[in-house]
Amino acid sequence: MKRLVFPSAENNFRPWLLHLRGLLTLSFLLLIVFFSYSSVLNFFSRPTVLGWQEKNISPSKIIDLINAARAERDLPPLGVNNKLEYAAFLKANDMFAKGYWAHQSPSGQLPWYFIEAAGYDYQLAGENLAKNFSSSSSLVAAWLRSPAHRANLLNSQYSQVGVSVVDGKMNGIPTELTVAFFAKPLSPKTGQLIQDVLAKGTLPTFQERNLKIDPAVSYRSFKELFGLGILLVLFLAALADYYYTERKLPRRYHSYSHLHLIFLAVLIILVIFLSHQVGVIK
Amino acid sequence: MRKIVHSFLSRERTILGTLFFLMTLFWLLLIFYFDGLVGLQLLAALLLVTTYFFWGVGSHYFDKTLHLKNVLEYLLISFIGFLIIAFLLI
Repeated sequence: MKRLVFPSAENNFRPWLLHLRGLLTLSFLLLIVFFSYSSVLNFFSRPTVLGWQEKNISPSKIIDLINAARAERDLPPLGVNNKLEYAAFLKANDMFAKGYWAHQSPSGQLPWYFIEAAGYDYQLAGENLAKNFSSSSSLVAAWLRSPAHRANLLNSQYSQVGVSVVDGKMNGIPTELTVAFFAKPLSPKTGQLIQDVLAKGTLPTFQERNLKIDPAVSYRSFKELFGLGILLVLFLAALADYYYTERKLPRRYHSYSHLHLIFLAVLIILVIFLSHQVGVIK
Repeated sequence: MRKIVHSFLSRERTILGTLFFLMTLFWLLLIFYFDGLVGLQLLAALLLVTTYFFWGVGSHYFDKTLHLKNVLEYLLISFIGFLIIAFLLI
């Protein structure tokens, strides 16, 4: 271990991790973990204890934030439609069942298929997707930053919206999917809340989700810890190397450890940031 | 210790060093800004590691200490950095 990180006569006064062989081994190790992460996940995510994790993401909060963004631009608010909510729920479940995350399913079904399957007649419709966001505000902010998603959120022609947030496992990985359908109904009647249909039980009711069960050790935390661990060990090696360089100890050749230190510090900051901002939109 | 810290800070007080340092910070901020847009974040991460690579190689080139081993070292550390970011983003 000492030879890996600290310069000594045994490693030619250069940490073994900064030798080409050490870096190649580390790259190879990363590639192996990268391509076999599902197996690693299954090993680490075998939950022995289930913990409750508070989540700040909910369909109603997302819709409130969308309407707030529309209000800032003098656009009328979007009304919640249960059929669109159901369509979003169907789409999210289809993605979990078939293991995809895209606007088009592997069997070629477009977003409109789910809107029609929910019995919603539309003139105009749009779909926004998001994955693994930790809060409604960060999710809506990400949509607003993307021109294509922003166009759906701020389209003056849309009058209704349906959002569904569903937890599940996608290809063995715990995932949270958010689907939002925006639409302009074909007739005003379609836009009304269909309480009578809900009463018959043909559509599921949607409840606020504020709590969620997560495995004690999640896939996400494994990736963060693994990445952070490697970066910290490299940082330590570069720091030790820099210290030895400053003391002008003998060596065959040397690169600039202070550059490694700056770069690795930037990466460590980045990994910490990405561990808090994990969502992706489509 | 003070001598080491002073030496560290004075090393990159060149136009090239300052430029590369600012570029690194710029790509870092861009990754923060593109939160949620994985494609753009990956592109910014690629530019970040590329900046570091050319920063290292450029510094050696101007100091006339460029060696193939140095180039490979910067290349491999860039590769490891990019892999870790991609691992977290994808």
